[in-house]
Amino acid sequence: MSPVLEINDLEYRHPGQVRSFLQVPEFALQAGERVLLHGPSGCGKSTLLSLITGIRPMQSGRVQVAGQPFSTLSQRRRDAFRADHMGVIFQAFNLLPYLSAVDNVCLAASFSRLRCEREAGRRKEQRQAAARGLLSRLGLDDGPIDLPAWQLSFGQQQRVAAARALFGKPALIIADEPTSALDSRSRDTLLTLLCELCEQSGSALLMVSHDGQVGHHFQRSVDFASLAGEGSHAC
Amino acid sequence: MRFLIALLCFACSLPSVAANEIEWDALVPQDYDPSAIYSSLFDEIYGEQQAPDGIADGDSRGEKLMDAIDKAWREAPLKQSLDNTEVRMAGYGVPLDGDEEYVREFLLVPYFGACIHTPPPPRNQIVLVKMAGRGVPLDLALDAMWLEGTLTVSSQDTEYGTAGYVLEGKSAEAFTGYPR
Amino acid sequence: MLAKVMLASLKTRRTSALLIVVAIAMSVLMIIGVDRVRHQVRANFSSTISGTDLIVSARGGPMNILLYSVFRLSDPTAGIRWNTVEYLADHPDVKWWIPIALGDSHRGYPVVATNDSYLTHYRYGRDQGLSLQSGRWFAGADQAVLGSAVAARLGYQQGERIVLAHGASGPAIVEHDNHPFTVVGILAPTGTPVDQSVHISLQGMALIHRGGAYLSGMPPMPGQALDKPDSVNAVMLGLERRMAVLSLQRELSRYDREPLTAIIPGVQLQRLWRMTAAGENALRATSLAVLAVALLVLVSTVLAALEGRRHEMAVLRATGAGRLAVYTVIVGESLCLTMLGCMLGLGVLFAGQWGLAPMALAEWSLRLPDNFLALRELPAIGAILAAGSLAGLIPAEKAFRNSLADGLTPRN
Repeated sequence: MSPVLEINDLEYRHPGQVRSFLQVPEFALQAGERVLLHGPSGCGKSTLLSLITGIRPMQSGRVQVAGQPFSTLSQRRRDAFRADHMGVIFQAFNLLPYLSAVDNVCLAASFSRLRCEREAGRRKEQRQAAARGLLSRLGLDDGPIDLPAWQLSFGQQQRVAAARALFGKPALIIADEPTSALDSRSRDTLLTLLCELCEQSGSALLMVSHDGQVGHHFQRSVDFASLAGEGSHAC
Repeated sequence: MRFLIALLCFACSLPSVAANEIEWDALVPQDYDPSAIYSSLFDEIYGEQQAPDGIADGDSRGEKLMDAIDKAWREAPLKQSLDNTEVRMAGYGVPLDGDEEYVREFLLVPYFGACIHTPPPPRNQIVLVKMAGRGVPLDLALDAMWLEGTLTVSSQDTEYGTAGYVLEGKSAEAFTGYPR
Repeated sequence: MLAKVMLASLKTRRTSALLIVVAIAMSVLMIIGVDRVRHQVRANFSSTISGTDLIVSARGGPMNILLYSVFRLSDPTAGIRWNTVEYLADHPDVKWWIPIALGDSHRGYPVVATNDSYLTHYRYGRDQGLSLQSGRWFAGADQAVLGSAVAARLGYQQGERIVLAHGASGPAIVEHDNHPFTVVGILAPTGTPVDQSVHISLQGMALIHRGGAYLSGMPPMPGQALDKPDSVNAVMLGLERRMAVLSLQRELSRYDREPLTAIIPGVQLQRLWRMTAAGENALRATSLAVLAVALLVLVSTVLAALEGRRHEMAVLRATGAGRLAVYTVIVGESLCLTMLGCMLGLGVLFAGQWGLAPMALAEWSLRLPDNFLALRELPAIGAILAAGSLAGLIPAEKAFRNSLADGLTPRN
């Protein structure tokens, strides 16, 4: 079975800089595996994630996602691929504040027909029903989820973000410090639910955090500094 | 059957009757000599000894001469052979009827300013144009233009008919110079 | 879904959106409004006279002659003697003739002295003749026929007695109060200066200008021709052969018994349009400048708002929005605002037309358009919508580039 994520000889430097900011010689993530990438802030973890998700264009190296040579795809194809096969959770500002939680979750489906079909059917009612189901499994019931998202508490918003990332059973979920702004109890609850749902849908999870205490949720913990190797000058 | 279709196609591919491009002197019969007419009128009124540049301004005979010329120009002969021909000619328009965007009926004359200061052209150098459709756009009507249509000639002054050249205009376009 | 995103996003920036919509509405109002008024004025003027080959008047400027004889907008400087009118009437080239004498007014409306030819031969628009909506044409020296606007505004009916004032306009100081006229007929509306005129017979005018004394001591009998009027201001001519128009014009300019000028109304009207074209173009250029400003406001406002929308863009990008989706949201927004601006501008214009129409017809004999949008205006509206959409392209590209640079987490 091929890994869901494979990185080789990735190198990135900021525009105008001569020295490389980020270097990852090798990294692999298996299908359905949950891996924590921990390290202090500012090391380039977010940069790495933006390269993996294809939002930022690659400079040199190879990235393969779900067996596809991801790094060689055009910007347009990478965006489409991300819509089909990836979920993303940020540290904050995950939602469009003027849409309801349900609509935010369905946002994932509006950019990918494939994703839509994997979770529910093509019809709007099916999509909405599936979104509600997912949200309720994350502990959010009808009522708050129909309000504009800015009216939800931060903890609730993070859960909605998780629901959106999980919608459509993507092959890979990328999380960039999703719990760093939560208190420890909320953090644990969210991670437990997230990991459980990832397991159920077969999505791999790659989470980045500076918090070492969350390691027990994951199958593997990788220190970012060791991943980057001596070539990286960020940390 | 196939032969008929082929024949039809062949007939359709033949060019339609081309409009004959004419200049203003084509409207004048060969034997018409306006300068000779002018000379004889001049001699008649002023006498044969008078040199043209010796006439004082405001001479009453000058008015008589002008009247005589006007009358002669009105009776200038028309070229019957041009009746019912397709022509293409250039000229300036003197608008008679129309609205704020198009001119439907106008006189076509060979030179600009024929309407005000200089003597009007003789009858065989004026064409009354009636446009088919909406008419000629205003900007075009005030400038020089090419006109295509059917020219008819009537030589009788009847109660209802016009004597002179009448053009049923089909199309008009801007004139920028005669092609060399 | 993208439409929902776009509209909901726009609602959060209501105030600046409203300002943009108003700016665009104003420019649309100007562009379409100026074009409509121009079109309507031209149509009104052009329809004032038709089928008249020559207008003969005392020697003077051709434009002036057109303005006073047809539009009653200027003042005649001299008259033509009656025997010249008889010469024209008897001329072999002339088919019909209408004499016109001006110089009096009634409560601001010009008085036109003429004869029966006016009713039979005057044409306007597409060869339409005059008709009476009530009563009959004048038959005596103390009878008057009103144009429709005069009757409407002053509330006159048949049988009304009116007194004419000397002078073409303005408040009456010298009145011909010894010779009141009786309204015997009212003309149907034409949308031309005919509606604003009071029509009397030439005999009537001769009478009131003879100083007042009825020559026989008794009021004139209907149909009795008192005196020939001594002069008129203009004579409209229809010719037997249109082709003779140029030679007759020339001939009349050399008429030895009196200095005359004959104008071809069609030519003068076209000259008038050429003269006003410069002014119209200046107005058009101004309107376009206003549109350019409105669009610049649109672009700069949307660009400025992008800073605050970086997280919004990051979310869209992370969930799989590509360049096309980002463009759709931003350009869609610009298009939406432009469309609202167009509708608001057209709506205000329509309301203005509807509200001002009665006054415009009464005061200036100007028929205002009564449509919301004319077919020939569609290209202009299309161009405005296109320009509005294109204006959104700049912020759209900027937003996309920002998202590439921001990566996963915008820093602000």
